[in-house]
Amino acid sequence: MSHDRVDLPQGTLDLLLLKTVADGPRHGWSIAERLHQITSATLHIRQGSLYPALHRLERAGLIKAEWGTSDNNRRAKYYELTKRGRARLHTEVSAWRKLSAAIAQVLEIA
Amino acid sequence: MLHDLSFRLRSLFKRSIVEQELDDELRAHFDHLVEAHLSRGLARDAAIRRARLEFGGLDQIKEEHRDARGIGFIEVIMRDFRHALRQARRSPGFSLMAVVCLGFGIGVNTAIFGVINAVVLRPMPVAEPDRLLMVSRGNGEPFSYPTYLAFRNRASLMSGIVAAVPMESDLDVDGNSNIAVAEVVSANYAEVMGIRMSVGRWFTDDRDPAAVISHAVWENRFKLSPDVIGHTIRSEAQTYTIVGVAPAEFGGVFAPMRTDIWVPVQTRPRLAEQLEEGKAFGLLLIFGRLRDGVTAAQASAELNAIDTHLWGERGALDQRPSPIVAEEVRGLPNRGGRSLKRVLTTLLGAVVGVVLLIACVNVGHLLLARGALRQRELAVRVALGASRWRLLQQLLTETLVLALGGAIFGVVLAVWTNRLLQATFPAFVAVFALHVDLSLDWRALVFTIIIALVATVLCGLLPASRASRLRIGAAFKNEIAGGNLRRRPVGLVAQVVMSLVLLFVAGSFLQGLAQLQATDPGFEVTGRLYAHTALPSSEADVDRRRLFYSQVLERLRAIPGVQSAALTLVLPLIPAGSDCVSVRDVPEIKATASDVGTGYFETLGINLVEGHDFAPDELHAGTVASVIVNQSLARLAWRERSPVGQRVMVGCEAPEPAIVVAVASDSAIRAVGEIPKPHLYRRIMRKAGGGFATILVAADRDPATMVQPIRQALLAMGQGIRVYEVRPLSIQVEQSYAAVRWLTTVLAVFGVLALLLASVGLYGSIAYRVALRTQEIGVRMALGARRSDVFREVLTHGLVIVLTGVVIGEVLTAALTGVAGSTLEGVGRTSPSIHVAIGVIWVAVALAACYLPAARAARVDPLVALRHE
Repeated sequence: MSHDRVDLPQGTLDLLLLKTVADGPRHGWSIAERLHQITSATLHIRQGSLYPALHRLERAGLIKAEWGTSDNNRRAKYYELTKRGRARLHTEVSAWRKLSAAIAQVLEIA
Repeated sequence: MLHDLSFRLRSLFKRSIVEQELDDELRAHFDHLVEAHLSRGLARDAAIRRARLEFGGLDQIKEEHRDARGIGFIEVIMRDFRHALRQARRSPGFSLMAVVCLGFGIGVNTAIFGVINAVVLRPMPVAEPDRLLMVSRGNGEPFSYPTYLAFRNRASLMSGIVAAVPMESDLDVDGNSNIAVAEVVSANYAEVMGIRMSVGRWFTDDRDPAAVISHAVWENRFKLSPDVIGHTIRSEAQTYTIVGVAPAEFGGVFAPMRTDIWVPVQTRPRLAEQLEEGKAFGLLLIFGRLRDGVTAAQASAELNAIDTHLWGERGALDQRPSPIVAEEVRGLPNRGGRSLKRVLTTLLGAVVGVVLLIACVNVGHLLLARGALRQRELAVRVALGASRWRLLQQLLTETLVLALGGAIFGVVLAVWTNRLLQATFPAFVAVFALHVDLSLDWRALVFTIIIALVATVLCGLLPASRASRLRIGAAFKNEIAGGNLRRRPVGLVAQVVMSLVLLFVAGSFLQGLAQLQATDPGFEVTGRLYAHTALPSSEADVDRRRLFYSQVLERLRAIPGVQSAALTLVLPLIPAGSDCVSVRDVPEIKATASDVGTGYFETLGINLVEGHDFAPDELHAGTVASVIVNQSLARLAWRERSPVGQRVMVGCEAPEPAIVVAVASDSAIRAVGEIPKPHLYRRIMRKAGGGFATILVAADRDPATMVQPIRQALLAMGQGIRVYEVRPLSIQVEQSYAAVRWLTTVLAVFGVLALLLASVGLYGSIAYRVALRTQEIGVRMALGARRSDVFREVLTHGLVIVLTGVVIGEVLTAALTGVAGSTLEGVGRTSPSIHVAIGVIWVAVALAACYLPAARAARVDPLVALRHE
């Protein structure tokens, strides 16, 4: 039910998540913060629904999770990219770039 | 992929940990959010509210997460299972009854499956059993030695061909001699068959005086002693060294007859001689192993070609017996009685199927009743969002749990039953005991689970679909759909019909057995005894042997009480050999044949219609042999003319001339009550034979009192004579229909079981119906109905159901009799007394089953009933 508040189709959320953890392990809160930061809060993402997506990625073997302590000494689960995840990120990014370029072209012409 | 699997497994088995972790994670995140808001200056309450809005519903996230975990399906099933178990525990009486009912139904199925498995399905306990072929003729006739040689030398598609000759023998262990069954085999036996020895080895040379004993012999005669290897034994006056013990599960190729020892063929010189001379020693069983890449069909074709060629060489192509079939060995490794096996398994299979059905109908009724009572509970679930499909799933799972409980109980029952069956499986012949492994293996377990699933569907589907199809409003208003049972007594009627049919089958077998026991076998049994004896085969001289035995008979006749004594090779009612008789102008007749001595007919009380008995002194080979024919043979070959004094040619392979000296009246040869067939009596000990002879004695007093005197008299004759059993002939006659008796007992037990199950079902239904209608009865009583009216009404209702079932059942069984009469010789004829008997039984049972509920109905207090909402 919370899906209709998310503007992104499922695939793109995954892509964003992969990118967010690409530069180092992060826990869920930190990921949410970062996404919020980068996109200047334009994306409406129900924060809770990050978790199902993260676990889906974990199941697919694209990210791996480890428990650790956060900066304020709390127990937190840290997610980081696996080798497979990195490869997938590459392909997804290039696919996205091609797609957006193509769409842009169409929009220019029309 | 692997990652995915391990993830799923972890979610499945460490569920609580996973859930806890998720909870921690979400909570941590939530706290962060709250803090962020707090640091922005919001009040605590507002911060929490804000955070909640931004975060989303915790439970919904958890739900999504569970979906994302991807094991929802299995989790659901496990949850259903746990719920079903709890449900079953909540109504222990009901659950117990269902489990017991189903247990009986499933248990008997598993038990009989054990029998069918042993007889028809199980592959031989050898290496690569699918490459081992059993070579047999279509009509089950065994092979002759020349045929075996031809196969061995010319069959290129088989990597090895082996012949086995089962024969009656003796086993002497440290001076204790007993009758034993020996398989005389070619040395490549172990290799071709693929026997895996666990103790010792097999012999490899045809001439090696080495023997392999069976596991049973090792257990019984050697007490599982480890020094059995190297121990010497004697068999047929030959000394053998034991080199190995056959694996326990290997029973030889003559199964179901047990085999005690295996010896190489050249160590039985007399046998080897006869085989080499090409005598039609018709007991060869042939097995062969396929080469890689060859199919059974190809091997079959090649063997048939060789066989045809062989008969062609002999110039007797038209006499060639039925074609050869080479097939994988499954169940019993020989073709004897294949068709009987089929009938047996079909009959037993149908019977246990019916018992299962009755049990399922019972439990189905129980479930229907309970479903009606649970409407409220189910309505709540529907209101909370359960779909009809989910409800159905849950109800079926509950039934499955009951069925599995029944399966466990059933397996225990089956193991116990199988042990009982194994212990009572008849010993067909006094000498041979059966070795059929009825134990339950993995196949039986798989079968049980399948049956449990079938039972679940059979008894659970209808009640589950009924219960799940409810109208919420009606359920909450407590309108129970109790009309189920009222409207449809079909299940009950079906149960009555099925148990009736079973009882009928059991009854007809009982009647058949009684008839069999009352039938005159054609020879006298009272006062008759037999004694199995043997002389060591080293007494090669036939004349010496004849002399010895005539002295034996003299001695016996001197015992007070003995009226006459005679020799025979084989007792009546034991399948003996056959022979060919040809008379001028008449096509060759194949007749059963036996070898008997002077005085045989007098001793057994068989009338000689024409002619005279074998003369005692006409015994020299060289003169023309005498034979005696029975009436059927006489009629077939000579019609109205007298056969006495006529010349005949006797022998299938090398016919020799003989003169008929008498005609004996027909008597039972193979089985009591059979249709008389042509039979030939030959002179015993006319030519060299084995060392065995059976002595028949007619006494004027109770045979049991004669056993000891006869045994002592025989032993006193000395010369190494061995005396085995001395018994009254009546035992032999009884044993000949032991198989029928066993089958009848089994069927009777199942019939009674079916009756019990059905009557319990009937009682349950009537009782439930009364309980349901208490209010209605109360109203009727208040309006003036008398107690006796109510009593009568309930009783009548029950009786109507039973009578409908009885009528349908009787019609069905009358139709069945017509069908059965053609397949089972002598057992299919039934009299109307059976029909009457089972009808009466069922009505009596019905009255008993309905009495209690009817009485309870009559005792209803209208005031109490009306107040009971």
